[in-house]
Amino acid sequence: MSAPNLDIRAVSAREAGLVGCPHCARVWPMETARCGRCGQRLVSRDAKSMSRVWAWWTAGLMAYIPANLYPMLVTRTLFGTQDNTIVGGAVDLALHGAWAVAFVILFASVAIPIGKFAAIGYLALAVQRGWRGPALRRMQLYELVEFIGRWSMIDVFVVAILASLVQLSVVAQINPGPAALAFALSVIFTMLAARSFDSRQIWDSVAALDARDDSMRADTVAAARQRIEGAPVPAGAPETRPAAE
Amino acid sequence: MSGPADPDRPVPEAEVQPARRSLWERVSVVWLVPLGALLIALAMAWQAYSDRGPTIEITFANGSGIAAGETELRYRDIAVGQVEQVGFTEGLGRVLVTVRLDEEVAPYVDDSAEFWVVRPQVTAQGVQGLNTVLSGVYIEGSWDADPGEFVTRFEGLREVPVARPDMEGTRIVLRSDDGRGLTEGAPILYRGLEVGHVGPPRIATDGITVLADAFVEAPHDRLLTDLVRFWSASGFSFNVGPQGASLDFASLSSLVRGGLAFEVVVSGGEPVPEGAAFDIYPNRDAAVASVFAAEEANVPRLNLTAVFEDNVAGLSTGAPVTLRGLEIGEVVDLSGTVDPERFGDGRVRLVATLSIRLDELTMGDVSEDGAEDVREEVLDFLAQRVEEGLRARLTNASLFTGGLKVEIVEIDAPGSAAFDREAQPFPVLPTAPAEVQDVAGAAQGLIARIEALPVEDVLDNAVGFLESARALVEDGEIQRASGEVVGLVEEMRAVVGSEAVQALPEQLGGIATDLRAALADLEERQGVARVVDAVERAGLAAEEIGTAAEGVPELVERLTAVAAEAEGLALQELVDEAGALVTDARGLVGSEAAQALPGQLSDTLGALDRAVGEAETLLSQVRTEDTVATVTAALDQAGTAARDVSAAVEGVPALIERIDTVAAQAEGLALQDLVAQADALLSDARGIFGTEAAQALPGQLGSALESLDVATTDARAVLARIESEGSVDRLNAALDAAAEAAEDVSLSVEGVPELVERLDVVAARAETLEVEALVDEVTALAEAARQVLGTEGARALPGQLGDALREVEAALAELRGGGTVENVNETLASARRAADSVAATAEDLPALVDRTASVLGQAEAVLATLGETGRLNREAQAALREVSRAAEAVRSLARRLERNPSAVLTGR
Repeated sequence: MSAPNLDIRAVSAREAGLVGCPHCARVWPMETARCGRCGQRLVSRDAKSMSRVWAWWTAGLMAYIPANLYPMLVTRTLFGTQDNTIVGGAVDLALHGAWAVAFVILFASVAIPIGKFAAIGYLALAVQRGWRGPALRRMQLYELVEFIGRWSMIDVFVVAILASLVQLSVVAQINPGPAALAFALSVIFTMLAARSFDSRQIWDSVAALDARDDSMRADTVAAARQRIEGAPVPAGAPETRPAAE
Repeated sequence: MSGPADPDRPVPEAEVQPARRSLWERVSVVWLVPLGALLIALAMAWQAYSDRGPTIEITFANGSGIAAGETELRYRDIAVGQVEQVGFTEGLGRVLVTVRLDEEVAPYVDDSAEFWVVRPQVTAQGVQGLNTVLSGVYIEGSWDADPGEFVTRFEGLREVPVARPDMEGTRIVLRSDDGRGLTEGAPILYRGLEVGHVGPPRIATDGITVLADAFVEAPHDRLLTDLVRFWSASGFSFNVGPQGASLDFASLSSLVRGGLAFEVVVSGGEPVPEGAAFDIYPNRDAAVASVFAAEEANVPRLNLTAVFEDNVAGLSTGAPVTLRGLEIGEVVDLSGTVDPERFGDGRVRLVATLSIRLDELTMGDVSEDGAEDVREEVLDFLAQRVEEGLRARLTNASLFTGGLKVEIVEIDAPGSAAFDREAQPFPVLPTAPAEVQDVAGAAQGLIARIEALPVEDVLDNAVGFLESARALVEDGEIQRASGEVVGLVEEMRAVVGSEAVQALPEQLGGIATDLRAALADLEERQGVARVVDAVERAGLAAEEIGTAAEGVPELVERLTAVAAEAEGLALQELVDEAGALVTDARGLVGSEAAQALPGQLSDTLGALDRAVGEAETLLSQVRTEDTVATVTAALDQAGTAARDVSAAVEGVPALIERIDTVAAQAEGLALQDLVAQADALLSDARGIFGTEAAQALPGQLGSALESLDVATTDARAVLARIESEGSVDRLNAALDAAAEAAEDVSLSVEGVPELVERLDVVAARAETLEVEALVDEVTALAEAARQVLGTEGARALPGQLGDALREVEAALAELRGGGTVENVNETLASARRAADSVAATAEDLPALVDRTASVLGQAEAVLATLGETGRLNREAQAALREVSRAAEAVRSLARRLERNPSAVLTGR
């Protein structure tokens, strides 16, 4: 984590009166309503995004509980019916000697979702509470969560494939249990939570922490505007804008 | 003095607060998602919780196969609950299973509910619960249809209960002394229908009776009344008694798995409550009889003791005690006793305790109150009768089984004995020697007698007889002799059958008849007979006259003179000569030669016939006219010869007629002359017959016949040679020879017609000529006849005939000498002996046959009983139908599997 280079003042676009398109990353002046490049709406900071993050996060967490309690796979054989939860199935596999498969299942279906919950929760908290911390790492964490979000559905795919393959009438029959639906919902909600998270807000704190010195901040801001707009800004005239939260 | 704002007063800083945005702007709408999820989860949880039925706890002896969360509770095979928890009761005594019921069945689970675990079981009723092998055991529950108070704790049963609460019917208890028929799962039959089943048996508290719960299904439980009797229908019963043998069993299935049957013996009984007890009787008769019998326990009885000195086996407890044939009680106890003081020796004696029913003996009041009086009466009665000779005695109860019974009879000369009515424990009835027929011994004796029969000897004799008969029949000699006899018979038949021979007897008979007639006429017309007759008549007349008139000496003298004259006639000589003549003639005719003459004649004629036959067969192969002509000529010659013979014979009747007329004429002649002439004639005739020539006359004939025979033999030889060589010339020669032979015959008989003609002429002349001339003619005739007959051939004829006869005799001697006749006699004698012994054996057979017939009759009765039992047929048919249905099911399964082998895995 590199210390902020105080020579180059970290300035957020928002402080510079600019807003970046979340989709195509073109920076526009703050007042612009829509991106000229991709047509997305330009919102500098959404006050409700954090609420949305927490909502999706809570839903995902709520859906994750039955995903673990209810059986993921219902196996019907000649001798009877067997219900396997995620953890239970992994344990069974481990006990039967399939350690690698058990590890994979545990990692993919337990560790990663829980990690995602933790990561998103941490990020949201950090942003909301204004904790200090390595912003770059947080950004990387966020990118990681965003990346592996969709891959959590592998578990559901495995269940679907198993269920469709093993349909041997009376001899063996595998059907997805209620946990599969819950797990899928959990993953979807987590993905939505991650998407709702505005990663720009990670840098807000950095910027706020960094630019404590007003003069430094003003210079930084003027320098930044100058660079962008090319208009010389009279030094010493701080331009303040009501900062939107 | 507020004036314009003081420029020095500072402007108050307005508090700027950021506008508080509404909640709507702060809180995202996305919060609805988790809220909704929460609500849904809560709603589902609440619904599952509220739909959950109550739990009950069931305890089992062991929990094999019961798994928490898996094992189901089923009612009528539908899952209505699930086991949630499996644990133990306090003290680990039983397994406690917590079952969650469905809401809809919870109200019905009341104290009538019963639970048991359904596991795979193989019982006499069949295989049950086989599906649990794959799906795991389940708990089955049964309760009645009325909702009741909810009970939470149940004790699980070990097995399916006899009376399931969900089945309608009545539960009863069955009692038996020996557990007969009380097997678990045994069916209860009513008229062949299965209307219930028996549960597991158990021992009653008294340790003697076997009890079992049974269940009779509705609507047949309506039949159960206190007058219903149960009996064991398992197994079969075979009875042999006075009415015959009978085999009885209820049905095939009851034969295999046991069963009880019941019947409403008497209608109108009272219905029985739940759990009523019934006794099991060994068979239907006992069951039915028990209804009609008076209540056994309440009949007053009198017990007596009887000591039997006999050493016979077969008496058992339960044997009947009879008095005058009426069964009045039974033997209840048997034991042996050794009492030297009482009996005088140390032998073991049989002590039987007889239990007499008082209601059978008297007509008094046998209720409890009057029983004592009746008992005293009976004891008095017995005491009195014993003095008169009443004794107890062992006798046969059943001839076949050898069982004995006790009969109380009055015997003659009983010896002195007293009825000891004060003896302990029971009064002692004196006994008499046993009258037991040892049927087995008699049967053994009969068998010994049959064994002693000399069957082997009889068989040996019969075999020997058959062997000798076969030897006799197979003997070549006999066959040849029989062949020869047959041939001889055939030849004789052929000969006899030929026309010539057929005609011969007629002709000979005619000749003989004519001769006899002639002799009879001669006899009649003989003056001798007439004279004798006349003499007799004269005598009679003289007597009459003598008696009637007197003084006719002159007449008498004249008559006497006539008689003397008649006597003086050479009557005696005449008679003697006539007699001698007749004797000679008879002797000639009766001589062997003459008797053999017909035989030789027939032989010769037969040979001739054969020769002619062979010639004819040969002729059929020959077609030359010469031969035919020669044959025709020979046949003509033969025919001529035959015709000559017949012609020669034909003239005889005419001759006889002539002689008759001559004799008639001769009647008119003078007696003496006639007599003299007759005498002369007779002497001549006798001379003729007596001379050797006459004797030899047949010989001439015989020689002629012999030559003919030789000729025929030659002809046959020739013909044989011709047959082997096929020469027609020789045939011709043979035919010529035959023709010559026929000519000889004709020549030999040529003289006869002349003779006949001459006789004819003589007779014709005799009608007109005088007797002397007649006599001369007759003399001449006799001489001629003498000439004809005076040859050696005729003399030799008897010899030939005698030879022929001797040959026959030799043959007969051979026959006799060969010992064949003796053998035949011997075999016949031994056959007769064998027949005698067989007859002796056969005398014993009827009895055996009767016994066999009776046994067969009984066997018929048994078979009839078998055939009458329709249930046997029905059961067998039902079983066969089941088997065929099962086979059909198996076949359809096999077919389905054939069509779709993966059906095993994928199902239908």
